[in-house]
Amino acid sequence: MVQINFAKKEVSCKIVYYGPGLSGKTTNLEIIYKKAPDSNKGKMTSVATEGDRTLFFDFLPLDIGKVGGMNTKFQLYTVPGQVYYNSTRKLVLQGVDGVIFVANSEKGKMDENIESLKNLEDNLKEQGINISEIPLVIQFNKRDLPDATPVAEMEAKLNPWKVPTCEASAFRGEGVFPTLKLTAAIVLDRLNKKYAPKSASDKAIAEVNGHKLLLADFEKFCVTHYRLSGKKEPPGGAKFSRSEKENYLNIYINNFLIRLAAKEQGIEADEKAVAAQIEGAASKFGSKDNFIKYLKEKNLTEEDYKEEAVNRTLSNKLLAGIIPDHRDRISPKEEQLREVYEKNRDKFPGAFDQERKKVEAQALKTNRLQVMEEMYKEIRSEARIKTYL
Amino acid sequence: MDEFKASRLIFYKDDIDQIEKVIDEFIKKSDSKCSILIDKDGHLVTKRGQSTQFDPETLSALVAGSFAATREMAKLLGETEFTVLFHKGLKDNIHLSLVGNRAILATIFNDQTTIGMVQLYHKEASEKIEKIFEISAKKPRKETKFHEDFGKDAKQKLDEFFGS
Repeated sequence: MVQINFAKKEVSCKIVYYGPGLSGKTTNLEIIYKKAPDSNKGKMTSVATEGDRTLFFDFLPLDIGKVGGMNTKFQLYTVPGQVYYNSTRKLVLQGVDGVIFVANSEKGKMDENIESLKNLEDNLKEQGINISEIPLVIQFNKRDLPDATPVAEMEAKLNPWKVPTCEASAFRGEGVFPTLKLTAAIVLDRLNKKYAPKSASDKAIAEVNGHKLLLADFEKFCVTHYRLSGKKEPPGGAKFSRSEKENYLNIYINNFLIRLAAKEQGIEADEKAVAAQIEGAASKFGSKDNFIKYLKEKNLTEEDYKEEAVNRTLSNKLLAGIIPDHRDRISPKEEQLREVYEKNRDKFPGAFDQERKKVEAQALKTNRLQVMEEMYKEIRSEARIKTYL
Repeated sequence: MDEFKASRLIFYKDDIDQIEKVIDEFIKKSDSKCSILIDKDGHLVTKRGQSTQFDPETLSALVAGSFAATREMAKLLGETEFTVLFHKGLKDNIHLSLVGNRAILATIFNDQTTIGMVQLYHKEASEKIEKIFEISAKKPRKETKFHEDFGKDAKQKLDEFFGS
């Protein structure tokens, strides 16, 4: 369990290297001891047998310096790997904050790996810890061996929880720091979530009907939406003015409300309709390949557009319920076509009959937007919205 | 219950101040060299007395380890716990005793004093520290938060230390 000492302004975390005998746990620690700067490490202690096998544990204190004003320390332990030392393994595991499971990639060692992992699971359970809940990183060690078990096989057999993994050759000093870094990051992230006040990324940009919309998600949305609009992005990324942000936030909240309303009414964006939306957009580019190429140029993926397509599909489906005569109102009347044509002669230089199709498209767009606005207004009228822009 | 368990390894300044006072007094009365308080997971809580050569963090890990091992021995013998451990050396000796259910007080002393004196005052000091823990658990707390930059800082520090 992490010790937090407000008197000394210190945080101390316990990380245990676990794994079968001869998988390279002690070697991991030795490499860290060798590579870490003198000012950041303590003495490495091994309680070992005369044959140099770990008897009780190896121990190395590591001090990474001040994090948010707290001096942050990691106490690294290894356990003895041999099966018959289970009682000492349990002792070392007490109060653990993060586990690095060092798996042996050597051919024929899979059963030992599996047995040791099961043993870890059992010993954690005795402490009331579920293995899927503790910060756990699996290191596939000894990757330098010519007949090493393929990573895919190790992954399939040893990592049902899909925890982060790291390939290493501790003997050569490779992959040792990355494994510890990954584990330390997860442990500190836990602490941060538990003890630090909400940082900028956890800040809400709005609250809609009791749901928090996160600032970080909104910022991502702004960029995606900006790119989707086809505007050229300046080097260093787009910057948004306050009024632009307000505008985007309105759209963002509308989209959220649409999804909320759809969920309440049991309306789903079926794949067919979404695919049709995407095809519609792609048709303007001649082919889907061209469309995807265009998205790529804009730093977007098909997935980004799919989000938008889902929003449009849901909006269309909701429209019927909220504005029953929407079809009638969207399709332009002859009178309106004439008006649009006359007002925009610069856009439509030809005779009316010649330009009719283009005029119709523009009128349709205008009407659609109007009806949509009305729907959003209707949905918003009953929503509780607080914004923190 | 979980909240209580989770809050056990947080030490606050006012408690540590009091604990250090108790330990200082104990060292003086018993004529010991130094004392360290260690939590049961092997993390150092505080060190008082003369500065010595040893690395207090390593000693903490070993003390917690040997205490955990003796607890298993006790269980095998049908005891719940051995509350006191004593190792005799040529020059220096070390005396270890449980404080409440969450910490260990380790004291190093030489032949300036006797084991009897150390034991006598150790018991008194342990009880006082236990009391401080008990009161502490019931106190409402203000300083339970990290700096808001902890997360950001952690990423940066890890990159610096381990390379990005």
